[in-house]
Amino acid sequence: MNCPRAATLSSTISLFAASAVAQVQPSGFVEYDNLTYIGSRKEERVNGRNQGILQLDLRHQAAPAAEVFGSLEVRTDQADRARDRVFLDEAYINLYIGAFDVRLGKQIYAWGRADVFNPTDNLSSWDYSDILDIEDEKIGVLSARVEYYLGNWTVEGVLVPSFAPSVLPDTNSRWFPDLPDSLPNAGYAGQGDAYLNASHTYGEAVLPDDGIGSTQYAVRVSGSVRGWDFSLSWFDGYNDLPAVHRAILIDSTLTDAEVFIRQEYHRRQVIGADFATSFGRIGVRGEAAYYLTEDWNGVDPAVDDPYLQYAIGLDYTLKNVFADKDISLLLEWIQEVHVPDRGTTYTITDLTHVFRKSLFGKADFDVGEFAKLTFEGVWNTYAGDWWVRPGLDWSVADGVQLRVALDLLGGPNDSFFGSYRDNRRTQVRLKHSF
Amino acid sequence: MDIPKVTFGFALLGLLNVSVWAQEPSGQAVMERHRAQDRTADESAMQTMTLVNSRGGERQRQLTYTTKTDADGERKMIVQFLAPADIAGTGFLSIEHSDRADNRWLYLPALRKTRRIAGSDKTDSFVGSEFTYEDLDSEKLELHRYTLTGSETVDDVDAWVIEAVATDPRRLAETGYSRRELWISKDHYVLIQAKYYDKSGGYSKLFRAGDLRQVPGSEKWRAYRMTMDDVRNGDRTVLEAADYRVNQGVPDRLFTERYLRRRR
Repeated sequence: MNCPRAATLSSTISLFAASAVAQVQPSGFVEYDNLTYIGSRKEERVNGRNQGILQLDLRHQAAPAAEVFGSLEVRTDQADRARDRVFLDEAYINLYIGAFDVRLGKQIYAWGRADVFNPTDNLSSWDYSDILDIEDEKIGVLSARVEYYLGNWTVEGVLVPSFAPSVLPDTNSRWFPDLPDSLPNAGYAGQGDAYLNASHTYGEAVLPDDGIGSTQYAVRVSGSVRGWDFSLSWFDGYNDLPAVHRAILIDSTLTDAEVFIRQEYHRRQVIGADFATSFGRIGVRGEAAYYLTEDWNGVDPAVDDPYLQYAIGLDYTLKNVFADKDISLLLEWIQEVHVPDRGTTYTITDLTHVFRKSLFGKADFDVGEFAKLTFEGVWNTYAGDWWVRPGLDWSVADGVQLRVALDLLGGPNDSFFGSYRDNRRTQVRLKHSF
Repeated sequence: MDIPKVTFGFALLGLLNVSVWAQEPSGQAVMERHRAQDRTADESAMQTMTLVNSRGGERQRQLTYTTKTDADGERKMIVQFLAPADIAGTGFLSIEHSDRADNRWLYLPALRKTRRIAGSDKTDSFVGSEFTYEDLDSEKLELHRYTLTGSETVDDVDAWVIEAVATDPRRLAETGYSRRELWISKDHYVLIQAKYYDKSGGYSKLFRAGDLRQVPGSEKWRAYRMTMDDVRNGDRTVLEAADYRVNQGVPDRLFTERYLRRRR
């Protein structure tokens, strides 16, 4: 009795599925990426990268006002099989309802108008497993976003029910900080040794609760008036980088110390603003954010005190510099200011506070029609450390890009880039987009 | 007896003058006819852009563009790239202003960001092509002086030759050219060739338009193939158009950051 109905249902589903599949627009890329360190080899660390990535993006117009998107990444690294993964980068549905655009699902956010450093961009976390290679390394967060458009104004609200921390370098990574094998004996008074042998133990990271109280929120109002784009934003959520809490246990002979390290993610509120405009041929962009942290009174040395970060940048193109080719220049000044100032200090590898008084520069010089020489770098003026990356980007064929680059780092031992100066390396990356 | 001859002579001279005027209008008059032919309330097309370097290497891009021009001649334009895959989804939005610098934004899908770009730098290359933003601007008659310098046939099309020089101080500061020579077809007033001279007077680029056709359902004529040659380095950009549509009643909301990102 049910057979004809079942057959009809089955064929209807098949037809619908076939129609849906036919309307899916696949795209993505295949990439080969090789990193070769030219600094000294480090035992028990991964001394290179030899990886391939397949990213498959599927977009489907499910209805005139509804669109589904998914992006899946498959990665394998022959130099470090621990990096092998199958990962859902994004998966969301877009709904277009009158003046409202709604996006629901796992998605990546990019707030802020500055080119290099975006202190207002706090919704998505990052994969920092390679600190110098964060291009396309943002991590999607499960969230709901609603945008309301009214003329030149946009109001955007975001709700993030779950927390996704940034990925930090593994202990076998060359970007995992070298932990000190000795500590000064603070209580040294002729007894024991002036320095203690140190060992380190990592405890379980303390993540925010799964409850509704851990929900993160953000609101942004953006506008464009007479050549100025700007926005004001508010974020109430978690720092995607952990505070490092340490407890030190010294043995009775005053020779050994065991350091217990606990990573904990703390809530903060961020008031942000940005702008972009141009004066003649100079583009000007700026962005600032004030971080209201959990440690307003500055009593916990492991938790950030309140601080302000800002970035202001210029871009300009020098015309016909050589053989009718142009050079595009970009400069950005990044600074961190403590308000109130309590003379806060940070560990040198604290990723939240790398850029405190820093100058970033980038220059692109076209060579021929399909290639450009690139140079980018940053100089932390407060510590004297630096990183530069000269490179060549070549469009080998339609949709095929080759990048050859060199990473150089330097500075004092007790500075961020200086502590990684042995990590100078070459990069060769071939990417075919389809 | 001589008086009638003289009178006849003057009369003949007068006729000749009228005849000469009829065949050789002023440069300004030709450009006004060109603008009337060229201007639409809105326009869209699909284009294949081929970048060719001096050694013959080629890269191809596919894009769609839509423009809308208001009563004051201020134009909005949105361009969206469809291929190749590494730049698909990139969008460009431009809103012209007569009293200040244009507004321009570039949407870069890889960065998920819309980036304002300097609106007064009209000499920048448009997405790596031999066309600059200035080349894509609508012709601003009130900002230039147009002088008819002759008449020539280009690819069997009879054309007026016009010299265009910017006279407006702001335009003079913005332009990358000291002058342009424009070939306007006599039959449909379409720009069929242009030579561009840089600020130091050197001949820098050659534009040529071909495959002239009337847009279906309209009075307008368009070139379905355009090339821009950089005569100094040998690089070339070829634009081949398809599916021109004019005066379709395109809504203003298309020319917003929202639609730049949405791609639909």
